Amino acid sequence: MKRHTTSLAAFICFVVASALCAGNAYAVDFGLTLSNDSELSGGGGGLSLSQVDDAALWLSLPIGASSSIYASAVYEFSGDFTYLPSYSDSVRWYSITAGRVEWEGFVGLSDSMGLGWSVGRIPLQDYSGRVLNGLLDGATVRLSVGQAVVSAAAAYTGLTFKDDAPILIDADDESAWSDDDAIFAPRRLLASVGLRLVEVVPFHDLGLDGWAQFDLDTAGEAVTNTQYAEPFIEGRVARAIRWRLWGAAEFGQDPGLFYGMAAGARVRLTAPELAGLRVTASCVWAGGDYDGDGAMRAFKPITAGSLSSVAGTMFTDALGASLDASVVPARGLTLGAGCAANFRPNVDGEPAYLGFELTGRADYKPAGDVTLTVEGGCFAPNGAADPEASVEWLAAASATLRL
Amino acid sequence: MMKRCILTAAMLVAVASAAMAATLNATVVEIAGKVEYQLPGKGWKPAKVGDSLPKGTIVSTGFKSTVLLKVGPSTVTVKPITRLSLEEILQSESGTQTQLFLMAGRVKAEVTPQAGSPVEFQVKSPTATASVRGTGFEFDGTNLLVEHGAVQLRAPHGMTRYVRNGEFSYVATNGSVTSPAAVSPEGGLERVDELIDQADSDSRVDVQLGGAIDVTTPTATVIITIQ
Repeated sequence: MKRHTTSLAAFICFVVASALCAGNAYAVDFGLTLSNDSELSGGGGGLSLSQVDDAALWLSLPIGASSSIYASAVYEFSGDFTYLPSYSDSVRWYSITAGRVEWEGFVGLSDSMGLGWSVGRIPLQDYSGRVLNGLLDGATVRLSVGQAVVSAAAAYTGLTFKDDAPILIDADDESAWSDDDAIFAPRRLLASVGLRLVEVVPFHDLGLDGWAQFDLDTAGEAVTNTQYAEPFIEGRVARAIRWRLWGAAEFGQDPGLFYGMAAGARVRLTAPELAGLRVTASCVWAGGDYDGDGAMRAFKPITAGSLSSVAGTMFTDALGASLDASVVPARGLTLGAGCAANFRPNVDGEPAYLGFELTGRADYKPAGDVTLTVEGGCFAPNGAADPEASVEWLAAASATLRL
Repeated sequence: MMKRCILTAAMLVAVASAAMAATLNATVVEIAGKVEYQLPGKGWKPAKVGDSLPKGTIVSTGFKSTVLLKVGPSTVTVKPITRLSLEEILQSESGTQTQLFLMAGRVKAEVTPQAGSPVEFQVKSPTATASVRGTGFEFDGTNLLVEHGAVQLRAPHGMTRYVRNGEFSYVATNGSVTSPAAVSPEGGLERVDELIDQADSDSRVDVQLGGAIDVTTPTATVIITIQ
């Protein structure tokens, strides 16, 4: 941790010194963001409280005419307190780490061509956000040529906290995930290429995302490399309706060859004149190892994610359907409610329906620098699918102040 | 003899063209707050309702000040802290052509099509040009809010998207034009942060990363051309 903190301090000093040397001190923008997230959850007689407090110091400054640097350092306190069935706690009094640290820029190469880049600890995700979604150390470049955007990215996961990049691809990853001594995510090298064609079909974009992860932990039980091809289409039908459809094919080697499939769709109805009404219906599916044999296996994304907010159903070998609605009854206030149902394949004759979830959410921004959020929900499992499962619930509140 | 005929013909064409393409003036219709203008080669003077502003005039508005100009068949609301130059206002047989140069600030344009007389309306800026026909829109050089009609929003390096009535789009720092979001035009670009939030939430993936990512502030330039 000390080494990490020292590196961070050195980096921030470097950024400030660079700004001063570049004569851009007058343009430096900086601030402090304070946030608190508290979460009370229960289920099956259990009751626990989770709390995370962050203080993020950030700085932003232009570098030349076509690029800028954004750097942030985050202090975090986190605590997990289990009250029932017996009290225990797990408190991390402090962690200091780099938040988003990014050098980004864009230059025009000609009247119809531009090159953008982003380097540092940057947000990376695939088109759907279901294959990869994390703040990782790496770089991206984007070449815009008319209506086409070609992109490429590379990243490394080994310096990211494992909570921030939940990689659960093979047995080694699962061991590391459950090992309290393991702080960082499994070491993987990520690479990506992508193509997006903007409105080549009227009001619609087409594209293809390609991602690959290479397992650098060669000392473990398994070395698992996977690649993903993800075609997508998204667009507008009239003013009010937006839709998107994507699919993902996973190819892997461990060292045997295997593959998996996933897909998703979303339709959104937007009616700004009706108190900002927005209704979203979505469905995502991640394939499973249906016959227990052969090359097809359960789809494993690079970073794991859950199907819904309360239930712990992971996005692998499962299907989720959801309907959400939100309105803006007053300026700065957004109210939302949603429901979701989770399913799994019933290849063994077991019930496919896993349960139903209801959620509610209120966001309030009394001022541009203050955000308050209250949300809650419950998941009612299908007793026939899991007789031991009980109703799970969650209530959360968060507050963010930007200074 | 031949030279004389050609010269005569050229003069006739020039005279006819001049007669057909008459230069119009803009007229000050409404004023709120402090508004000044500078006629070509002259000093600044306060604007009054009814003032006629010829080609080359520079209009300047102060804090909380606006001025409504009638420019040919169109109207332009010059928003606070804006400096605008009237480059060209022509009426010809082929229609009305208007060119404005937005040095700084924001304008709201209402371009009214006329039967049998096309209207070409352009707002240029140091980094962008807005050119519309039969459209109402608000534009600040990066963010575009279309109230009615349709506009083609073009980034400096080629990417274009159609933005239709009741939609908002902007050019992101990476040079791309964001997918237009359906929004309420009420409030205009005064609430640009909310509009950007809405546009971003429309294009955002369903799986959220948490609070570590900040929405980037757009700084790129745009060109808007006629649909």
